[in-house]
Amino acid sequence: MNWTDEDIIDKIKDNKTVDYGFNLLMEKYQEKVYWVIRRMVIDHESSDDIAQETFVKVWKNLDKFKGESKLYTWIYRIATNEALTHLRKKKRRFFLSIGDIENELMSTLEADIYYSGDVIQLKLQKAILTLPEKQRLVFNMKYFEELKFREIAEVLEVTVGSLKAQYHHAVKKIEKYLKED
Amino acid sequence: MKGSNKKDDQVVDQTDDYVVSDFLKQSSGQSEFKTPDGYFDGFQKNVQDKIHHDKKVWWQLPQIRVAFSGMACIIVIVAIVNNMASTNEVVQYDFSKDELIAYFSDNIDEISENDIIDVMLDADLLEAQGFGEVDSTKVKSKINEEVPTSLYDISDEEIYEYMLDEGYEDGDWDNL
Repeated sequence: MNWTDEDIIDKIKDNKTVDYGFNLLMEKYQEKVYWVIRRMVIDHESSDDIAQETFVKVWKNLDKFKGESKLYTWIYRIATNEALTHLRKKKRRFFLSIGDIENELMSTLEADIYYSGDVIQLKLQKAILTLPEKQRLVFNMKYFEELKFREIAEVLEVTVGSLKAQYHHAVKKIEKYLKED
Repeated sequence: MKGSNKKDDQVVDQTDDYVVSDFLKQSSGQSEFKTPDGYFDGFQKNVQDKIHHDKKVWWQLPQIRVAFSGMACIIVIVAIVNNMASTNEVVQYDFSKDELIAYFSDNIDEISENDIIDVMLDADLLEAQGFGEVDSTKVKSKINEEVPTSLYDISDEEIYEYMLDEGYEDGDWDNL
């Protein structure tokens, strides 16, 4: 059965079915949340931790969800914030510059046993890793997750116009990187 | 010639653009990232465990544990110090003068005169000898000034009276 967000919220609001509702929520969004995070932080272990932490935060803040935004945009927002926070912490912890974190993520990607892309796909990933964090996030959500600009705008709380501009710049940079090498 | 080269370059660029765009279009939505087998099957359980673990063991957080250990140490130290202080009080103040006198009276046979004098305060000693109530600080200084009495300090009359008190008759002590 395909549960709508409204059904899931109804279950969560009812004290008798709150656990069941939360399990439905996880079932519906666990993979999407995981992949958004994984494409940002690259390695599986960190992605697993962040994805779990995302759902723990969702659980703890369920009473604060007023339904003003859509359920999935709210969950995506928590997930992307967690991923960005993780990367910032990593930078601070190891005193890494933006260039160093790119190199670090590229090394992680090359050594990742859970990455099965061919040479061209690896190159594409490397090209994506050269993008600034926010641009990378926009590109991943649009290109891989195939979200609409309107949905991404809700998640990141920016205008659709600025998102389109960012995505356009990201695509141009990636194309340039792929042609150059 | 130059013009035809430029044209060729443009064609190559356009072909490159087409190839890259085409590649991006074709790759869109595909994932080359993988997860361990059955990863998503156990995901919900892991999250539930984390949620319930967080609920149960807030008091086992390292900060809380350190704080409790610290407080326990402080309490133990305070208790030990208090205990030591009260033990000292028992030794110094727990016996009143009457109790001490009663104790010495009961055990008078086993205790020598010197023992009694040793434990008696100087003021009490003088009081017991009939000097009335005496300020102990004055007594101490007086005692320090006093020179022990020698036989030459005692007059013949005093010796005579002492001998009569002891039961000797006049002239008896000439034979001693």
